[in-house]
Order: sequence, then C-alpha cells, then structure tokens
Amino acid sequence: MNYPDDAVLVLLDLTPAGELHSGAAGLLGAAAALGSPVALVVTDPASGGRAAAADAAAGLGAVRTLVAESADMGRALTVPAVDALAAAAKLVGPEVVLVSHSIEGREVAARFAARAKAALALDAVGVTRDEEGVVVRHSAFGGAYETESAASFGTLVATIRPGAIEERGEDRPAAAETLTVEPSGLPATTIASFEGRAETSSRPALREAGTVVSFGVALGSPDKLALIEELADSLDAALGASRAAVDEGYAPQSWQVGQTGVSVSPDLYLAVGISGAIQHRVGMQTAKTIVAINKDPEAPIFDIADFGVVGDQFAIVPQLTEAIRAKKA
Amino acid sequence: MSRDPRHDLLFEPVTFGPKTTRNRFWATSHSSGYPDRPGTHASFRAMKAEGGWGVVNTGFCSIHPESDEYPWTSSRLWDEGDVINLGHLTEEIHKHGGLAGVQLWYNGMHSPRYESRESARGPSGLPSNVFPERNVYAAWASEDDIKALINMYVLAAYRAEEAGFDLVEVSGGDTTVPLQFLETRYNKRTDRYGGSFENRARFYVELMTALKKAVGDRLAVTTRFEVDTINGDHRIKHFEEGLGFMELMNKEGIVDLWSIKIGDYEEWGEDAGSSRFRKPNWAAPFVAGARDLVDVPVVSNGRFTSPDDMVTAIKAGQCDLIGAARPSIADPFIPNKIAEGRVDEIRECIGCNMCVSRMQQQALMYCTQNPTTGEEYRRGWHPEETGTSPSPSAVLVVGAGPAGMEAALTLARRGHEVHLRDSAEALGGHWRAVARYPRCSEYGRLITYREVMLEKHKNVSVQLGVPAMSAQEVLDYGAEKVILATGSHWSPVGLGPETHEPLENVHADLPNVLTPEQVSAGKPIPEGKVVVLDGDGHFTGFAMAEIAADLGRETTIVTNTHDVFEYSKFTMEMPNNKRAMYEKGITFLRNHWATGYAGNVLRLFYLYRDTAGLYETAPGQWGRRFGDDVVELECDALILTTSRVPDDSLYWELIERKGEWAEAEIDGVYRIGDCVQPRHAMDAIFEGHRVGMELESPDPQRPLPFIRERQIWGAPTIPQLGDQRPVVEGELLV
Amino acid sequence: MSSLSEPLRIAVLVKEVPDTYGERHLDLETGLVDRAASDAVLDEIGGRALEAAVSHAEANAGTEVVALTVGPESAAEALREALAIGADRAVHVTDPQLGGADLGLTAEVLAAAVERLDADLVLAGNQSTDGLGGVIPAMLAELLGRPQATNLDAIGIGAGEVCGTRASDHGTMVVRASLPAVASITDRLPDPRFPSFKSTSAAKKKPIETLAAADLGVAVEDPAAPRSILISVAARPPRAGGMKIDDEGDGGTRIAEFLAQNRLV
Repeated sequence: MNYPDDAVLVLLDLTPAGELHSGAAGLLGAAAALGSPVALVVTDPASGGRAAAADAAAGLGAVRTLVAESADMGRALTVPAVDALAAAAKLVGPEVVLVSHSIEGREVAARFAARAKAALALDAVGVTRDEEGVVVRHSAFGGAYETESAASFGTLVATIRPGAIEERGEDRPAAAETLTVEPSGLPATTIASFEGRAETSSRPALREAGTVVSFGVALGSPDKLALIEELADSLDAALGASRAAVDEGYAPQSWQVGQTGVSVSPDLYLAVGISGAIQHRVGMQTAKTIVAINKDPEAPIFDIADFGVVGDQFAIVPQLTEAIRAKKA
Repeated sequence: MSRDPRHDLLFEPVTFGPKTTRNRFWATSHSSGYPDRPGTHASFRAMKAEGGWGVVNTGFCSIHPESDEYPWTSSRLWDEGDVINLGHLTEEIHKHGGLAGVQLWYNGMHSPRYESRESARGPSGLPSNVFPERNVYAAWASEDDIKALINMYVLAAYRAEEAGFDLVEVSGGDTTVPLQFLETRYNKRTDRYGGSFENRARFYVELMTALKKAVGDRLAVTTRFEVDTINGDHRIKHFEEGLGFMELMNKEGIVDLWSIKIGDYEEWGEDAGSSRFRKPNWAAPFVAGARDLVDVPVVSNGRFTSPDDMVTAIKAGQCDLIGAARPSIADPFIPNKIAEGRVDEIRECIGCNMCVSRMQQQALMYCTQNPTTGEEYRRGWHPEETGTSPSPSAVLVVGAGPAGMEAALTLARRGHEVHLRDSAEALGGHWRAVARYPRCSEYGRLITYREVMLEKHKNVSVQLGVPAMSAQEVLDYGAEKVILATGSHWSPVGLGPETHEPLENVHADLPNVLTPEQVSAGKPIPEGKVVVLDGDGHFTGFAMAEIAADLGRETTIVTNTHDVFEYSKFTMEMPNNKRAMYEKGITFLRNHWATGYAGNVLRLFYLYRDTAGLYETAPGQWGRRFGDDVVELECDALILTTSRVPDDSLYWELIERKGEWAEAEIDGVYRIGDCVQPRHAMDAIFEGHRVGMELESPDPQRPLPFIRERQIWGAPTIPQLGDQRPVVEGELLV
Repeated sequence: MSSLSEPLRIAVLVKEVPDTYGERHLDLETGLVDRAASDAVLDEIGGRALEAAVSHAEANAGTEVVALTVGPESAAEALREALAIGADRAVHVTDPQLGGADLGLTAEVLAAAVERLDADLVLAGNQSTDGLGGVIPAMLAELLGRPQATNLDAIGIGAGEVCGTRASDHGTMVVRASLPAVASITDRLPDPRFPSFKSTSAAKKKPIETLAAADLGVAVEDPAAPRSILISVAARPPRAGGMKIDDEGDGGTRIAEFLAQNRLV
C-alpha cells in the first residue's frame, strides 16, 4: 500500500482502557495542518478496543490508522512502542513524526530519533510550514522566550505539548490496518505492576498548577473563602493568596504567592481583590494570562493584567463562576 | 536596576514656604534619647538624609527650661551650646542633601522639669493627667505670660536659624501648649483666649503669626497637629474642631505645611500605633479631607513601608508627602531603595515599638530591624555598608533565629564564607512561631528581610531541615570559626523571676500544663478555666491569653509585676492591651506568684503578705514577720510564660572539648543571642550584627570599645555660673 | 563491562543551569542560554540523583560515583559541587564545537563518555530546569543498548538490578531493570545533602578529567547527521496592561467571555 507523499506519522497514546488519550485531537490537528495524518496506535492484544481507537483517530483527521499489537506492551517499558514506531516510519516514510510530549510519548519519540538518527524537537507549542519545510515553535523559561527550530534535513521527530494545539482535523472515514512489527531485541525494563491513577478531587499543587485563583486581604473574613474556592474548582485551579491575606489568617503560608512565598508561572492567574504590590507581582508576573478583579481602579495589578474588571469581587466572582460552569457544560 | 515608573511621583520636589524639598519623603519628627550625645544624634539623623529622605526632622526640642522634659532626653534650644550641638546636626544632614527641621516644643504642665526645676505655664492651672503620679502642674498664664510664651518660641526660632535649620515645626500635637489652649479639657479660661473655638485657637494663631513674621522669609514655619486626640469624649474630634482648626488656620495663611497625626500625649500609642493594634495607614479615615481644606502641603504618617501604598495615599489625595518616623528608623534608605528599584531590600518596620519602649524608659532608642540605629557614630556602623573583612574565614553559624540570621548576613556582607544551619525547614527560629501569634504577623518581617538578603549573597549557604548538630559534627565540619545561636525555650517548670524556683508538681509534660511552644505546636488547651502565669511582662503572655480566650476558655493572667504586661507601658500598648482584655473577658491578678499546681488548684501568694513593719522576730534577729496566706485559684489548665531558659548544651560541650579545636582547625567558638541569655529579639539581632562586624577582633565574644559621649572634667561648659539668661518676659520681640 | 558481583560504578549526569529563581535569559543572537545573565548552579534534579548515588555508596563499600557533565568550561563549578556532595571523581566533556548541540549530538557525546567510563548504572534527573526536555536518559538507553528505568519516584539499587516506582501518564508502575542500565529520578527523591566546609575542601582535591568531543570519537561536524537547528529566538514583550472595564453588573460574564475567547475555559 502506498502512503500519501505528505504523510505525517502520528503516534497516539492510549489510556489503560484502550481509548485515545485526550491529546490525540491536538496531535492529529497539527498533523492535518501539515499534511495527511497517518495514525499509529500500539496496543497490547489483551486490552482490545483497537477498532474503536482506529475509528476515533479517523474522526479526528487520520486518513489511515496503523494498529500494531505487541504482547510486550504491558510488560516491557518503551521498547515495544519504539519498535512499532520504527516499523511504521519505515513503511510510511513520513516527513514529520508527531508524538505527545507526555511522559511515555516523549521517551518513545526520543529513542526513535536516536535509533533513526533523526532531528528531534521537543515540547512544541505549534508546528507550521515555511518555504523550507516544517518549523516547530517552542516556549522557553516559563514563556519569557519563543524559539523556532527545524531539522537540518531528513525526517523531523517532534513532541507536542499537550493542550497547546488548537487546530483540528476533519472527520475521515475509518481506514485501519494491521502493522507487523519486528522486535528490535533491545533489552527493556520490566514492568512488574501497574496501578491506575485514582480520580482525585484534590486541587492541583500551587507551584505546577496551570491555573491559579488568588485572593487578598479584601476577602474580609475566612467565611468568604467558599466563593473563591468555588471559582477555583470551576477552573480546576490551585488557590493562592497575598501576604496580607496570609497574615490575617485567611490562608496558610503555603498558599502565599510572592517574593517570600511561591513563584508561579501558570497559564492563567486570576487575581481577586489583590492590589498587586511589587512583592506579590514578582511571584506571578510571568503567568501567561492575568485577569484581575479589584475595586480600586488605580491598583497596580491592572498594569500587568490582560483583562481587568474594576468592581466588587463579591458581586463579580459568583457571576464569573456561574458563567464558567455554563460554558463548560 | 531602575525605578519603577509607578513610583516616580514620590521623587517630585515639593515647595513649602521659602523651601523646596527634593522629594516627597518626610522623616517625621520623633524622639530618640540621643540629644545629650550630639555626635550620636547628628549621625543618626544624617543617615536618613544619606538614605534619601528629603526632609529630616529632630525629635521634640524644648524651647526653654520651663518646659524641661527631663528625665526624657529632648533636644533643646535654650542657649548657645545647644546651637553649636544642633549646628553639627544640620551640617551633617545638609551634607547629604536633606533639609533639616526642628520641632519647637513647650509642653507646660506635662513637662516633668526634673533638671531645670522651674514652673511652667499653661492656659489653666491644672495637674497633668499624663503624669498624675508625678504631681506636675502648670500655672495659669496671664496675657503677659502668653506674650512671654510666644516670645520663647520666637527666640528659639532665631536660635534654630543660627543652628542652620531650614524649617521650624511647631508642635501642636502631643498636647503641647498650643493644643492645650485649643482643648476644653485644659482651657477653662473665660477671657479672649478661652471659651469659643476662635478664642481657644487664638494662642496658636498668634504664635504662628509671630514665628512667620520673625523668620518666615528665610525658614519654613510648619506645624505638627493632631486632628484627633482620641482621648475620651471631650477630645478634639477630627470631624469637628480638628479639621475645623485647619480650616481656620488656612484662612490666616500662617502655616507653610501641616504634618498631621492622631492621638495626644496620653494616647501617643495611637500615633505610634503598634502593629499589634494598627495596620499601616490606620489614621487615613481620621485625616481624610484634611488636605482639601488647606492650600499648603500636607504630610501624613502611618508606618508606611511599601512604595505602592505611598503612591496610593498620595494619588487618593490623603497627603502630599509621606511622613515616616519608625519606618525611617528601621530603614533610613527606603527612598534610595525605591529610587534604585530595590524595593525587595526594604527593611520593613515591624511595628514592635521597641524603639518607643526605650524612649519611654528614658533610655537610648534602638531598633529591632536595624541594629545600627544609634551606633552610627559611637561604633561607626552603617545600615547598608558593613565594609569588608581583611581576613575572611569559613564560618559555621548554628541556628537561624534572629541572632543567627543577622550574624550570617553581616558576615556574608563582609566577605566571609558562611554556612547557616537550622533543623527547622524555614528561617526564623522560634520567631516563626511568634509571627503566628494573634496580632503579631508583621513581626515576621524581620525574617522576611533576612531571608531575601541571604538569598542575594552567594557566599552564604543556608542549610535548613538538617538534623541538629552534635559537638562532634561541629568539630568535623571544617569551619574556622563557629558561632552558636541556638536560642532558648520557655521554662517547662514555671521557673520565674519572683522566686527563681520551679513550681511544685508542674511540668509541661502534663496534659494541663503548656508552654508557648506547645501551644503553637497545637497541644490542646483543656476546657474550662485557664491561667496564664506570666513573669515575662511583654507580648507572649498576652498572646497565650488571647488564644485561650478565643477558644472559649475563661482566662486569667497572674503576674508578679505591679501591672499586667508591664513592658507594654513602654511600647504604648498597655491601654489597648487592657481594652482588648476587657472586651474578651480576660481578667488579671497582679503582685501574685505561684508555688505549685495540683488537682486543678493553683496555689498563689500575694507578694506583700508580710508585715510592713520590721520586728525583732527572734532575739538578735530583725526582719518582717512573714505571712503565710495562700490564695488558691481553680484552673483546668496552666500556661507558663514565666521565664526563658538558654539552649546552651552544645556550647558547653564544645568548651569542654576545647583541647580538640586546634586539630579541628577551629580558631574560635562564640555564642550569641538567647543561648547566652534570653533577651528581646532587638538585642539578639544586635549581638548577631556585632559579632559579624567584629569577628576579626582578638576576642569577638567581648564588644570592642565604643565612643562614650560625656563630659570630661576640666573641659568648658555652656552656660557657666553667673552667665546672663535670655530675656523672655516683657518685650514681645515681634 | 565490570562484573556485576563487584561493587558498582555509577555515572551520575549533572548539568550547570541558570538559577531558576534568578533571571533567566536567552541570548537573542545565538539563542543560547545567556550564562552571564544569572548565576549558574548545579541542576537541582542532578543533585538529587547524586544524593541517591552517594547514599548508596555510603551503604555499599567500594561503590564509585562519577559525576559526568557536558558543558562549557564554567560547568566545572557544578562538578566541584557534585564532588562536594560526595562523588569520587568527575568527567567534564567540554568543547567549543559542542555549544548549541542538539539533543541527538548531546546524547551521542554522553553515550560515548559513559561507554568510556564503563559504568554499571547511569543515573540522571528526569528533566532539567532549563530545558525541560526529559529525554536524554531514554536516548542514552537506546544508544547504549541498555534498559531504561526512567522517571522514578523511588529507586532501589542492588543485586544486579535497579528498580523503582515510575510515575507514568496514566498511573504508577513498579519497574525493574537488569544492570547495566540507565535510570532517571524525579524530584520526589530527597534533596542532596549540604556539603560541609570539609567536603568542599576535599572536593578541590578530587580529580576532574577533561575531554573534548574528539577524545570520545564523536564527529561533531558530520554532514551526514541531521540536526535540530534553532532558526529564531524572540523575547516576549514586557508585560503591559490590557483591557480594563468597570463592572456594570456584567463583570463576571465579561471575564468568562474573555477566558473562552482565549481558550482558557
């Protein structure tokens, strides 16, 4: 079988239940923007679900889906997936190989690149074409710098930051096929056991959270915290606080954001009733997007907020929480 | 690094009267205890000018021996000698580009006059309510007396000009005589200087007019005025005569600038609001609207430390200049740090009022945050520059509490290689727990500053969460000098200053006996009645009582001292401490101490149960007849803040093994802070700084000599016996 | 290859990186980390890997811990720190030609160095604070033909194998790999011990071997080898205030709309 000249090989992660991982849409979207996505899923024969995965991949833009089965998938770490990817690449001859920058994905991509001696670009936030070929966009040092990379020549292997790609592929008819994989025989680490992650309802840790909702001493009393917590929960956000709020006992020391607290660089920082004094700013000003609510129009936080509302937090926050829930529903 | 453009407006010049200051930073007048030591006083004030304050004021300056403030040490403008001493002060301030201001002060009835022994005058002949225990009165002033009083100010202003001051600030706060005329509490007159509001304001108006006429084209004539005395119901209220007075004076056009405050001499604690009771800029609602009533600049103070808060206050129209007394003590370099974009390096005032407390003990002022306060001249210290050590060493500092942090930072600044170790996961030692006591969160700023600065010095390695060191580990560490700052703990057996004995059957291992460390660590306080046995007299006992009361316990404080939390008399917190205790139903028992606690009964004795008389109690043996009355107090829990015990076992072990130091290549082992003797954090930080500065001296454990300013027999004095005294009565020189 | 019944030789990969809590800059001309802009420190995660190796060495006499880095001359300081933490010796691969080396070249160089060292176990941090790549250990495993036991929250070394709990995307795995192997650890492992003055002094006397790419037989300028190249660098413009509105009863809704438009909700 021939594969499109503009084939983009996409390795799709599967969940333990055999479903496509949530990053698949973005990967296939990126691939579709570059050429014709050819998906690869690697399954353990025991877990089943290959047909469903192939259908789902097509629905997200894959023109073809290669399904490799390896009995070693659940027993040997990484090598079976690398062998499958190598086999797929040999078959398809793609210009670009896209893999998720997940823990598993990036290691498969990197080992494949080492094996194939291909150029490797990691943690991309975007992939495009220019007149010379495929260009990968990266964000460095917490968003302070944007860089672009490309392969000097040959196949480019790139890992994509989960959630970074907005483009989506078109719904395609399902076209699954079996891929035969010759094991490389390289020594692999044994997986002795696996325990799925329990669904925790706990909030993310402040330091690594993608979204932070932070409040100040204007909260007025610990009873009002529920309002902020609901907003945070609606966004799956971590909670942060200003030094003054911690001093008043509205928040523990571990929530303090700022010079003598935690430094955060989330995608979204919501500052509720925080004036934005410099000692606080230095702890959060590299956040990708800052939204501020404060009743003082002169509050310094507005100087660095991408979107600010001057008003009473006790009126605005509940309305905001409602609106977010409505949008997510 | 450069200035944040948001802070630009703080550096705009401001004109008042014939003077223009370079920025909006006004170092508010505050007393220091230094004026009898002219070198110390001048260097202290000048440091603020060096740090960027546009105007630097002296503390209260008595204009005449009739208002002698002794036993407090005020500045004085009585004679030529004072002019010389203050002339040195203005010279030092001018060297650094600041304007120098002097606060002209006549307090009449409230001046103790313990040196001059003169009689004072005032609107009415009354006893002082501020010092009722001292029996100080003022004599009723006739119209001639009033002219003489005004003359005193004018003569003082001429001396001020001679001494090089740029402005004279009339004290119309702290219940000085201009305010005494204004307040009905002091002014019972029925002539044109009493009765109606205009009449009561007349003295102040005439005074400012006279000063303006005498010196006003060369010096700025300003006033410090309390818009609300916050003292009883017959007080000056900001919403009536306080702001009303400013309006009246503005019409007269005789004030070049207003420095406004709240709280009078008795409620001075409301002006120097401690952080336990007042948040920064607490006076804002009282002074709101003041600026709109006058055509000249207004200064407002309120423990401002954050440049953003300063900008907000100015933009909100509260004031034109930022006044700061205590913040300028804690960090004379606030303006320069803001100018250079080094806002994170500001040493924030923690509002502990230790500075005030030393003043109130008629002693020398020091500062918890700034150990170089008062040492600029006598030890040659500088708050920002430590100089470099000629022989840097590898120094191990054990313990990262206030003393250890300050020692490590000072040593690092001087170029030593420092390892600072503590078994806790964070800096601060026991002070971390202190900062979590109710009301005490701003106390944590002393840790914040050192944490930030230690991080900036790459030659100090801060090692937290490491196991407590043994003597062997210290010997094996490879340090050339070792400094132990291992702190102290509260006595778990109730050892206190009254008896110097542990209490019977008392140990903090018992479930119903607690120390502050245990309270902070969450040991449950049994339900029911709680007694805090306090021998400390400062804020810890109060914190323990408040924690218990907030949990619903019926709380009583028992103390051996004459008043409860007696040190708070000096920090000006006693009235509010008592008000808070009253609000929360916390009771207290004074002049009692405990002997033991068992079966939920605390056995106490009254300190004065013995006879007043002295008797021959046995043949040839005289003394009091000792009483044996016991007071039994039922309580379900006992919290002990009786005294602190040094944690010095590591030190003594190392001393015992002194023979091994040479082989371990250790030059010296020193100890600082509470582990030597428990003390205020202010003194622990001082000692950490001193050892850091003096590590190269032959024995850094002993301080090097400092300059003692005092009279040496044989040198001339001013005045001499037989000198003419300045003429004040009769002629009005204006 | 050293016999597995003999004490182990552990090669610990360390890096010199800009201080995360300081200012971090990229040179806008070269796209390389501006090393002058901030203090360089031993990578925190590398420190944890060292601690794991040194702790094992303390409990198992005869273990040799070798710190290995590829970096500019200044990286020697990171190696001295590694020696102060307890590594026995260090190897510094430094070569001006390696400035700006991509992952492939870096992995090649490291693999050659590890081979030369004849290490039983290569131990590294899972990702470095300045690159956040997290793939070098996997690439080394591929090039050296060894099993990879990577991303371990807990590690055990002994009896000819390395084992541990691996934090994976969908859960936790218990894994085991026979030596020789490549392993990497996460920041769940303990902080490295603080070196005392004595260990810092002692570190100054421990040997650091310096090697160039040629010493390892790596051809840096191989025209047949594809590389990932940096084609542009741009600093994000300084933060300025954006849209500011007054709440007219719709403030919350407006924020939600803003978030939706920016795909934040």
